[in-house]
Amino acid sequence: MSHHAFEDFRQHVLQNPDLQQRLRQETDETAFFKELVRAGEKAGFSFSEAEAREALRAQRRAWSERWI
Amino acid sequence: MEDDSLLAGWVPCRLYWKGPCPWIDWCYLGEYRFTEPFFEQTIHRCFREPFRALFRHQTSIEVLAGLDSLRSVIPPTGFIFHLSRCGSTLISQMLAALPQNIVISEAGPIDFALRACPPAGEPSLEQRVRWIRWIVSALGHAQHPMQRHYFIKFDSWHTLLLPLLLEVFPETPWIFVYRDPVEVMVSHQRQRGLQVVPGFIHPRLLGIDPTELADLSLDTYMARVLARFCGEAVSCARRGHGLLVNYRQLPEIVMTATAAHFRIAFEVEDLTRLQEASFHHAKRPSLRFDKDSEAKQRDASPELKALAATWLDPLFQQLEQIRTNTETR
Repeated sequence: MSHHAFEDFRQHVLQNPDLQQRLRQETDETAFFKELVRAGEKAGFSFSEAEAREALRAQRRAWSERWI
Repeated sequence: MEDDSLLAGWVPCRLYWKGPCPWIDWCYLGEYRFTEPFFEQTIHRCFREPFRALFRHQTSIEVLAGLDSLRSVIPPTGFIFHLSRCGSTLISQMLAALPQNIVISEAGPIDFALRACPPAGEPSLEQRVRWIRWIVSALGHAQHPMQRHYFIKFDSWHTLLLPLLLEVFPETPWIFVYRDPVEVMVSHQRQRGLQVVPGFIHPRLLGIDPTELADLSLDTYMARVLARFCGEAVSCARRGHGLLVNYRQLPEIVMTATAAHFRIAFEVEDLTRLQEASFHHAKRPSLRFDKDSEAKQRDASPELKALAATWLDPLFQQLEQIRTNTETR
C-alpha cells in the first residue's frame, strides 16, 4: 500500500512546481527524506522514509543499467 | 502530459522505446549548465541530488511538438562534427566556458533520434526528421536570460549522417575537426572507442560487406571506419559552407576563424575565459592540456602507419587541400 502511496505522491509532486522547488532546496539526503515524508503527510500521502530511499535506489539503478 | 508548462527547466536526458513510440525521460536542469565535457556527465551531476534523481517526468516524444511555443528556443548556432580523438572536446569545452553558450556534447537523446530503430522497423524519413528537429530544439531551450548561442558537438559516427543533418538544418554553420590519422589511431589503440569496435556501426553505413567483418583485424576495421568518416567530410566540405579544422590549429582557431564561421563575436572577458579553458585537458579538466602529437607518432607501429597510408592518408590530404584552398578540381 505504501509503495503505491509513494508513487502517487511522486506523480503529485511532478504536477506541482512549487512543491518541487521546496524539495529541491534539500540536497543533503538525510534532510531531503525527512522533508519528503513531511511534505507527503501534508499532502495526504503516507509512506516511510525507507520506502522513499528504496525508490531513489531503484531510480539510480535503472539509470545505471539503461545500456544493458 | 496535460500541461506542457510543467516541463519548464527540464531537459530530455534519455529516449527509450515504449512499444513503437519513443518516450522521453526528463531531468530537471534548472540553474545548471552543460559544462562537463559530455552531456551524460552533466546529467550524472544532476542525479547526484536526490530530488533530481527521484523525480523525473516521462512523456511521449510527441509532447515536443508543442513545446517551442512555450519556451525561449535558440536555433542552433553551430554544429561540430569530428573524426574522434582530435580536439573536438577542447572546442566544445572552450565554448561551454562562456555563460552565453549552450553546448550539448555527444548527447544520447540526439544519437537516439538519429539512429534508433523501433521494434517494428526503420521509421520513415519524415518521422526521423521530425524527431531530430524536436530533440535538437528541446535541448536548445534557454534556461538563463543570458544564453543566446547553441552549439551541438555530435558523436563522431554522426559524420556519416552529415548530408541528412545539412538538409534538415541548411542554415546552421558546421565544422569538421580532424587530426593526423596516425595520431587518432594510436589514441584508439590505447583506449578503443565504441565507434571502432565491430558491431557498433552497421557495416552497411561503412560500405563494408558484413561477410568481410570476420576477416578484418581490429586495426584494419578501425582504419576503414575512420576513412569512411573522412570520406563523408570531404564530400560535404566540397559543397562549401563547412569549415575544416586541423587539430594543429587548436586552440587559437576557436577564437578566430571558428568564431567567424559561426557568426559570433567575443568580448574581452570571453577571450580570457576561452584562453583559460584551453589550458585544461578537455576530457579531464583537472589536468593541463598538452599536445601529444610527437609521442603518438613515436608510439605508432609500422603496421599502424601502413594502415593509415592505405586507408586514410589520401583522404587526410584531401581535407588539408580543401582546408587550405589548394585542392585542384
